[in-house]
Amino acid sequence: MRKTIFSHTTGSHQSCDDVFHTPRVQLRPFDPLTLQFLNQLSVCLLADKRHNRNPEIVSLGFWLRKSNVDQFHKENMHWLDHKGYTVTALGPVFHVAPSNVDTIFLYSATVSLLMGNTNVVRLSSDLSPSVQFIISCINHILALPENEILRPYLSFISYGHEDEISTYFSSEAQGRVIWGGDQTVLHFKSLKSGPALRDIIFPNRVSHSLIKAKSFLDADDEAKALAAKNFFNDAYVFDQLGCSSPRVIFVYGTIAEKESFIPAFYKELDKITKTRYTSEASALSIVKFNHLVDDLMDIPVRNITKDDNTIYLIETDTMPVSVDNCVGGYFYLRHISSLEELSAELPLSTQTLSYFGLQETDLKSLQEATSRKRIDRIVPMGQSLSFHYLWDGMNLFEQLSRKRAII
Amino acid sequence: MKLMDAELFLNAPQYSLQAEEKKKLLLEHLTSLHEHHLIHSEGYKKICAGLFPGHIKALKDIPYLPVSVFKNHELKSIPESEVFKVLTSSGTTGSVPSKIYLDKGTAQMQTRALSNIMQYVLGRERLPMLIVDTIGIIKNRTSYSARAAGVLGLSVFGKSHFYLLNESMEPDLEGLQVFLEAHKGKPLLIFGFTFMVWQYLYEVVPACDLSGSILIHSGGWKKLTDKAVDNDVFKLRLKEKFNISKSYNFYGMVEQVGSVFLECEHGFLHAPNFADVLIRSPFDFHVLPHGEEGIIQVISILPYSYPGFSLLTEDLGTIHGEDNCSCGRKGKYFKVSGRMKKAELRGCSDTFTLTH
Repeated sequence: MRKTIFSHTTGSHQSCDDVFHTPRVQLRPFDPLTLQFLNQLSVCLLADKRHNRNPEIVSLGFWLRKSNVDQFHKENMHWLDHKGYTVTALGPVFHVAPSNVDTIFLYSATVSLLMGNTNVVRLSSDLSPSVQFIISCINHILALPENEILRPYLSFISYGHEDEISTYFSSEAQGRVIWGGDQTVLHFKSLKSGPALRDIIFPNRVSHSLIKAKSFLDADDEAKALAAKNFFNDAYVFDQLGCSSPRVIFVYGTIAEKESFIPAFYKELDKITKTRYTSEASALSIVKFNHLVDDLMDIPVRNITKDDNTIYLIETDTMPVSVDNCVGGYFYLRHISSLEELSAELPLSTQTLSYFGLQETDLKSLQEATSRKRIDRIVPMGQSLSFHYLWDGMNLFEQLSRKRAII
Repeated sequence: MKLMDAELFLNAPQYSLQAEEKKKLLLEHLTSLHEHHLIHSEGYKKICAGLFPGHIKALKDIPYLPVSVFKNHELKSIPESEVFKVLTSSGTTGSVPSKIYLDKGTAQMQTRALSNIMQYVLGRERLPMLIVDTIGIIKNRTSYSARAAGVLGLSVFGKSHFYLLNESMEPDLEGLQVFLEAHKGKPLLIFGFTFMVWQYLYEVVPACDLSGSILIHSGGWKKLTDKAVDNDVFKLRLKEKFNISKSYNFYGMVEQVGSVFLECEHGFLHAPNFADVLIRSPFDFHVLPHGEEGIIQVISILPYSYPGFSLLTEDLGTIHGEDNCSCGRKGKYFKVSGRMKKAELRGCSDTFTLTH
């Protein structure tokens, strides 16, 4: 293969042949060397004063902490440590990160590394400052003498839209992790690859929120503010465009409760967006305004709650067919008086349903009511964006490893 | 529409109305336009019911639609049988073009409005006209692109038209030589889209003396910002190379008939009698005082056949004053600072595209 790529690890261009390495030592799943490396990386990420206020970096730093990784290990012990088989690495894994780089691909790469796979991660050549910082930390930690064995396991590379190179890496790999949504997934699937290649794909997904109106209304000021803050983190951190950012808010309760809930919720959310939301207001304000004007002509809008251009709460008479244009704080609002109604409204597939104010019994009823729907995550409000190794209905540790039967 | 009212705006010499009187006349006229569209456009009615339920007491209360609204919806306030022509916006590659429906009356008023403005700078005499475009774009006469509409609209103000580009968009330098020879020593009217004037006239045509000629150009600076060319550089270079000292930029859009904001000798765009601008805050759309940059809202009394008399653009600009520009024209004068920045959005999907 004569083509070259840019390596963020060496900081130079190199031949594609030199990217996937056969390591001198094969790491085992949850190898102590890997655990040590991840913990060092966590310390490095959290130590930097300039970056440790960035929520993306802080989340990643905490996720990589030893205690957290040990917890994953424990949770997966039941199948990792099994009499009938041994778990081994899958082999070389080719990762495709989304072009508008968000740090999510680092989590799947970490899972893959933990299973002992060698990894080549393709990044957009235009790295965001957070990703640049993370890569520099990784390079720094990998350079430590005790991590020599790990060096062949992680390569971050960039190249243009050159299918020849993508095809080459796909043919060298045993597994592919493809972020970037439908179009990217379909594109990579259309490339020639080995018949045994295992694809772990992340197509477009959407997410919603469920709020029990009475719980919110009955909450004290502090709890209301916290709920709003949690919702803000879920919705606004990626300008509502994460696959787990909420688009429709289901307000669960009586009509009277819903009526009091809307202004009360708006008020709390407004307080937090006023201090915390820093996105380019001017560009997004027009996008949201255009969307609203289209909606007024196309769908039955019952009520609009907005003041400035930061929060648009659009109550509709029917569940909107498309939620694709919900961006930067444009939420549809649907009133439901029972969880069965919620189930009827939900599309077949929802990635994350984040909730507020549900009691244990409500959660059970929710599970029952939505048993026919593909909901991959049900999480408390505020945790929508927290990456979990159970993602899009898969246990990524299992997806990125093999089970060797020994009979 | 009560044509008498429109006459008032169109017949008076342009840039003559003073603030107080203009405000009163515009408000009266726009309120009746608003009512007309409420009755005849279902879409307009729905938008107003949802977003602008209040009473109109001042210009700032007049509902405004986003320019993009004509992309996804067919909005008109006349029966299909009265559609006289349909304008389409140029649109960037891949985007849906706007469709603007004109009846005969609205189209006529557009012509008169443009002619009023042009006479202000050109006088009554028609000059030999050099058009920096190709005749190809005006050959299809049922639907017009913004560029074609501009060329067609302006061409009536000149005579002996010469199109600089052939139908393969290549400059016809030999033809130009013949044209210049024929009108030697006489001032010309030159018209074209800003980036085309730069790309095909400035960058290609050898230096020559076109002193006394008047250049009118429009279409935005987006393609020229890459080359670090702004209005000042543009004027300077054309003066250096062709000795053209009268260069007028104009701001307008196919979505709003009558929005013809022509630059004055001091570099400001001016609102004619029949049009106006407001600047709104991107944060909450409240009207900003003069001197502050915000989103440009354009207002025109002419759109009768479709509800486009008040539009929120996607351009940023600043009003510098009203009635007191040193050029002597009355009305608000302003500058456009460019398109609003597109949001750089992140997320899990690569393929998200904004709806504008």
